[in-house]
Amino acid sequence: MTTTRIDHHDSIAGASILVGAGWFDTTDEDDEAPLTFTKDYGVGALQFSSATYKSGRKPDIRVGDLTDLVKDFVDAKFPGTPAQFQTGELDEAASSPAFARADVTLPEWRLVAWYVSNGRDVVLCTYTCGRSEFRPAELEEAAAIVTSMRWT
Amino acid sequence: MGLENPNVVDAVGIEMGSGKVVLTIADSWDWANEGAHLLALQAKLNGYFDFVEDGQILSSYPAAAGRSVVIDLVSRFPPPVAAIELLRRAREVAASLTIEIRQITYTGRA
Repeated sequence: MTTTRIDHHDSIAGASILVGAGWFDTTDEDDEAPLTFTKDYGVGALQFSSATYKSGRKPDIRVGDLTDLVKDFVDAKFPGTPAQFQTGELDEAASSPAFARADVTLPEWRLVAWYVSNGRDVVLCTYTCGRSEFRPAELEEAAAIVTSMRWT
Repeated sequence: MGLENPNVVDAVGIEMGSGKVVLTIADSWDWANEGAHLLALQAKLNGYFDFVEDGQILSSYPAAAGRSVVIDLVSRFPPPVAAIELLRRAREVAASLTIEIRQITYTGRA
């Protein structure tokens, strides 16, 4: 599959991601909107926003912190909605980023949220689509984009 | 028609089967400027709420009398999480007016 590397956009906190063929960046360059991708004729929106470490005491963000963040996100945005959570490392390298993921099924929508961190910077990624339109293969592609995130 | 005209109802009809009155919003905007899109969508939804609450629906479309009302938001581009938040809140307001809100993404290809 042809991929495009997206580097150092504000929304991904200096990381890079690999975006598969057929996915398009729909973000307005003149706007501070989150980095957003949709697939050509697709049904979902994949969006990135970040919190970048600037100065002060260096954070040490661990998987447990990411889990707390993703739970807080779901509780704040969609209170009372059941969700399934999972965590992981993006690869086996010692300095690899970790993530926590939440899968939320709303009455009309599917939402998957990830918090990804290199231990210092944090990126929130969300994939949303209509529940009746949900395409598992498209979500898998979106997840592959998220888990391609790397900091150099 | 569309989000450019918040005070215009894009389409009205009776849904076969359910008999509900369906007010359609045709949202062709992408999400490049998320903030502007959210504001325009909110204004459009409020316009539709007014249309029902003020009784304009009955004078413009007498066949609506006694029927349940649905607002169908037909989006050209999939709504991101901020839009889903907006729609969830709008559905709470709509429920108090006994209006149902549905959303579908029409991509132009199956």
